[in-house]
Amino acid sequence: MSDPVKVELERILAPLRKQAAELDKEIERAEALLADKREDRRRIERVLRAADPNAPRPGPRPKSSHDWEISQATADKILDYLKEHADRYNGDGFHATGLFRDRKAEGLRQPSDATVNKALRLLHQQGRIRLVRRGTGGSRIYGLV
Amino acid sequence: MPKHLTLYDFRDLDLMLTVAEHVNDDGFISTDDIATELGFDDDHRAVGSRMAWMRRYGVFDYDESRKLWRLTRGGERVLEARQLGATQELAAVPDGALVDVMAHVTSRYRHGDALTATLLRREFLFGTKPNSAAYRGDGRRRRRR
Repeated sequence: MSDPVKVELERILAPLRKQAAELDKEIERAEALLADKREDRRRIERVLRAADPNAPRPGPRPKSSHDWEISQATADKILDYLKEHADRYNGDGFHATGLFRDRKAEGLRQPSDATVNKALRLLHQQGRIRLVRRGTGGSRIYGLV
Repeated sequence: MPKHLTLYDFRDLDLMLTVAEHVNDDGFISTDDIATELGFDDDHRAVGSRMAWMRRYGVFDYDESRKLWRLTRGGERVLEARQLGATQELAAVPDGALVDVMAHVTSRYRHGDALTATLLRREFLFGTKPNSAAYRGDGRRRRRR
């Protein structure tokens, strides 16, 4: 590019660069203003919440309403699976998560790990499996009877 | 790491089976070995305490000189009785008829030997006490039928 063309192009672009820089500053100012307004709004909301007698108060969370019972049929199914694979589960014992993983690896995604856990607890309660030991993190390791 | 070895985690039968499985050739096992098998690697006091209670109930004997535990004859008898498969017949009993079964059980509780009575009472506690693993796992709020 020849020098006169370069000079002319610079003459045209210079005000645009200046304009872009000014816009950047304006955006920065607007964002700072917006952040201030949001902070003000949060403060006011906190005051309003504190003054509202119907607002939820901090405290212990209500007990879960998802307390459900496992069916005997599902527990029996898990026990059948354990017996079918007794060679695998007779040794060091098994826990719910491991059993769920093993079943999942075989394509048996149901029942879920939570259900498997409940099934094992029910089977233990019924004396059809036994609690062998507690794992490091407190997990329950069961064994076949 | 678990600190307590309560009935509400490990049933008496769980402990009895653990001892039966891991005794040496003479039929004895140390507190340390039981603790290791149960996952109580650091603190063995809980195991010693529970074993001492079960000794009072007549489930275990303690050889003071060797500081080793073994099952009593009564304890062995309870484990041997598990082989008879009576629970399978009980599982077929309809819910309504369980009241009669319970009446029979309570009668045996009153008139049977002290060891059996104690184990029956503790098994009932395990299955029904609100902080029992069995109770928690099987749903706190049972449906009324």
